[in-house]
Amino acid sequence: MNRRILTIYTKELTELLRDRRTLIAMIVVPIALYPLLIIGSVHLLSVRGGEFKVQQMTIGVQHDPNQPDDHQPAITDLQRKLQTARNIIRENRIGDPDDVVSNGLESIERMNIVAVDDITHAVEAGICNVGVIIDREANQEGESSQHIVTLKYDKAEMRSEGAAFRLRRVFEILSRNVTERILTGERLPLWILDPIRVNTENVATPQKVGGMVLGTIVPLVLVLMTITGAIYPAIDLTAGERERGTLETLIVCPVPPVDLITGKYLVVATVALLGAALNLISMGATLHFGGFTEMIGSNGDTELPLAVLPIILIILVPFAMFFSAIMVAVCSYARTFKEAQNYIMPVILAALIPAGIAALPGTEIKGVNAYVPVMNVVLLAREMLLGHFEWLTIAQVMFSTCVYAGAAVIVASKVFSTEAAIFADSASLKASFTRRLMRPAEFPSATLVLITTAVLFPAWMFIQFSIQPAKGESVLTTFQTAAWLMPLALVAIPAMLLWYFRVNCIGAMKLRLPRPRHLLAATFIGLGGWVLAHELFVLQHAISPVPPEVLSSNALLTQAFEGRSLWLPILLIAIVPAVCEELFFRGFILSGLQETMKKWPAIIIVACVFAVFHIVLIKFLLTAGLGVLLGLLCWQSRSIVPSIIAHMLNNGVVVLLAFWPTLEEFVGVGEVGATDHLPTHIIAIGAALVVAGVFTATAGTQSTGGVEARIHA
Amino acid sequence: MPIICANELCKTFPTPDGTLKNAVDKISLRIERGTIYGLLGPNGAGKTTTLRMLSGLVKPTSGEAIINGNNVADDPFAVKHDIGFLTANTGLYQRLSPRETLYYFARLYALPREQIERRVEHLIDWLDMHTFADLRCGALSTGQKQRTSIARALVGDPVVLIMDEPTLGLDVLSNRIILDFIRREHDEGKTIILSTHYLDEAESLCDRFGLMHEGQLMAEGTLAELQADTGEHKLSSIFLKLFSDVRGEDENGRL
Repeated sequence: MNRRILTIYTKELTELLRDRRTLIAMIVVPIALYPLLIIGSVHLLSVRGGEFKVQQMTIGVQHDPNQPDDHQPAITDLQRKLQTARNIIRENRIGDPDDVVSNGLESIERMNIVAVDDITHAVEAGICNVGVIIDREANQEGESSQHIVTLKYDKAEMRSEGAAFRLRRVFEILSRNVTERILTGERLPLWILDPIRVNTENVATPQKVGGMVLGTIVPLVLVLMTITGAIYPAIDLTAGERERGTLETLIVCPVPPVDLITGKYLVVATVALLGAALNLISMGATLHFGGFTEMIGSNGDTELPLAVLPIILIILVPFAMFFSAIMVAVCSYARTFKEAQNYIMPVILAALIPAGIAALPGTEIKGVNAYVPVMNVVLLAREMLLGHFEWLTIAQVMFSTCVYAGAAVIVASKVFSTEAAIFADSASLKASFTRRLMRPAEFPSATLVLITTAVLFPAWMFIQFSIQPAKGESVLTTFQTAAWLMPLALVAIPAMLLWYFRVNCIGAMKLRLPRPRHLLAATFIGLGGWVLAHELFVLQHAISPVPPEVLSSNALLTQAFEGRSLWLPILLIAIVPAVCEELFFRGFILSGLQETMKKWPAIIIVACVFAVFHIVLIKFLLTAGLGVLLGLLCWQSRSIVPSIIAHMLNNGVVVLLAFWPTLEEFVGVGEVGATDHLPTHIIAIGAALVVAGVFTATAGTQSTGGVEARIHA
Repeated sequence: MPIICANELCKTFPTPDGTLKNAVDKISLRIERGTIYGLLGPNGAGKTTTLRMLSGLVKPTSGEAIINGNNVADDPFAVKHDIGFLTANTGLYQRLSPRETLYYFARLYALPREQIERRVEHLIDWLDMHTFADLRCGALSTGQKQRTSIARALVGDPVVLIMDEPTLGLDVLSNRIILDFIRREHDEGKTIILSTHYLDEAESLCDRFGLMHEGQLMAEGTLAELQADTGEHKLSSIFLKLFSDVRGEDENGRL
């Protein structure tokens, strides 16, 4: 670590640890309050449970006005029935006699009976918990007939519902008793009552069951506790520093803002992790020494896998780093402690949504879920508690979380060093968004590009998903809608932003004429690119097979344009996307990156963003490969025209091969499937074209690019 | 070449009612090495914004500043190494002691290890901070805080010292210590630019003066030059005269 960052880190940590509030939030809360909370709530639950089983309940029966109040026939009748049920339980030990709630003796002893005029009303008013009406069905043969018992209860009242449940069990016991008597009288075996008896047997290991018990709640609590631990230091080190007026003295020191924010950020992450670790230890200790293992595992099939807890702490490392970065970035915007608290709340709520979804039973760590921040950590922790360790998944979660954390730190340092954020007057915050005060620029800033991309990406995803064809609908509509929306989303919005921030649109989108040499290079790459793309796809298929539905999507495409002029697919697939995508990716985004980045990192990052925007991640390699070629063309020529031409030609060739059988026959790829290698001579020609294109584009301009662009700026 | 050079610095802020206000309007300064320069003016004249632009804390809307040969906009890092900046509000870390604060900033200036200790202990000596050097800053008096702040600004041994209201709200004793200290730094060859609205204090301390009003520099020069220009003797009378001249012109213009 850089010595300056270390200095900042040490100082901030010292200062923070001298603050009583941090110590309380970080150490006292988990160590003392937390076990108390768990033990307290469990105690409360058991008290309530106990209360529930001995709870008195009142049963309402119909009042008979013709009889004296102390000789109501309905009361006597029900009392007799309860008495019978009691005797049956005592003699036959039906069911589980210990299950006092539903059919135990204790339950029946606590049933009072009252006679009321209007049963429904009495239940509603809470005079009785449950009302009973017993009817005897009319039967010609007289004696034995079915009884119809109606229980009236109030579903909105827990006591009423519980009372109805208890009374229902009593009648079930009586009913079964009658059946058994009849069967015995007819000399029939009692098994007729249950011709099929179902036994269930648990095969899960006790650790696994315990893991499930912990897995539903522990990850969520840990995530929350980690976030909570980060809140106070994040605010104190950013907005707090600004509010106390010390930030100005810090910014005036010869320290790069990135070092400053990194030092502060590392402190927040450390505190968050320390908090998480303390919580984990405290939680483990509470569960272990609090007698929970015995309580949960009373019947021997549950064992809490506490040994996994340290491993979960390791997953919490990238998570704490990620969340600390987000919080530091958010708090850097705030001018006061209070304001920061207001900003933090929505962030925590937003984090709770994926965490909550992850906590739902049935959510699995699959596909996209492994990349959704917060959700992936909660899910992974649960998997580990269940004893599943999939290294690929662990790597996915760790990697994606680290990427998010890195991005958040970069944004935080940008925010922290802007002058509007340094001075606590709203005028200058406003100034950084007032167009008249902006200096005209040749290229957009990396921050503008970063934020625009971050906002446009989910928006564009959402658009793409919403225009996917419904069942039976043609893909054609999707293409037509996309062709309308693409210029709006990828060109109009960035152009408006460029205008607003006074960036020269012509320069940023590189709308200038290229040299003939670069046009030639574009033609080579455009004509040969599809071969490279196809072979990349085949290579990928060989390594990890592509699902058949992706492969059949091409057939769907051909079907959709059936009977249309050839110009329609050329316009919708080749021309519109080529123009819009190039203006956005190679124009807008690449311009934003080229001032602060070197040639290859910039080109590769833009190519990856380009590929990610194409939703179908299976084609990532193929799209990114083309993206690199297009980026190179644009970087070398400093014009958008060559990459548009190359993109257009590349898509155009693919369209022509798909829709124009004559050409397909001529080239000799008619029989080649999506996952087959192309004929050797085609590969040779394609490779030659690409190499020639790259050579033509780069020849003679070896050390240009970044430096030249910067001079240009 | 002057050690501090400002060429037509401008800073525009939007006001809450939507109009734009020129907090600083085309200020040009040339300050030679070893000068104590006083930037004077009433509250809101633009002194603080000017000093902030010189130290690279605020980006000018237009114009440029060059300090010790480095352009503030192009090479802020080099400029920050050369300057010590004292802010108007004594922002100190409440939970650190003055000594810890000084060590912290000395490390941020990336001074060599052995030099750090020497520098910090010297400053504590010079500013007579021994009695409170190990107390928490939160418990210090205003004067003690200000001495700590000045020591902090000087810990990197800067060639240019920019001080925004160094004696604001201090008692006589602290005031005396700080003014003596500024003179001493001056004797050691440092260039100092300070803003104040205590004119008497400035008169006894500064070599040159810049009189600011509503973002503009009304007059500039040594005391003798200003006296010759206005015919007044004391700095406060010079200031009042210039001030009423400007207002008079305004009113005439309106008529």
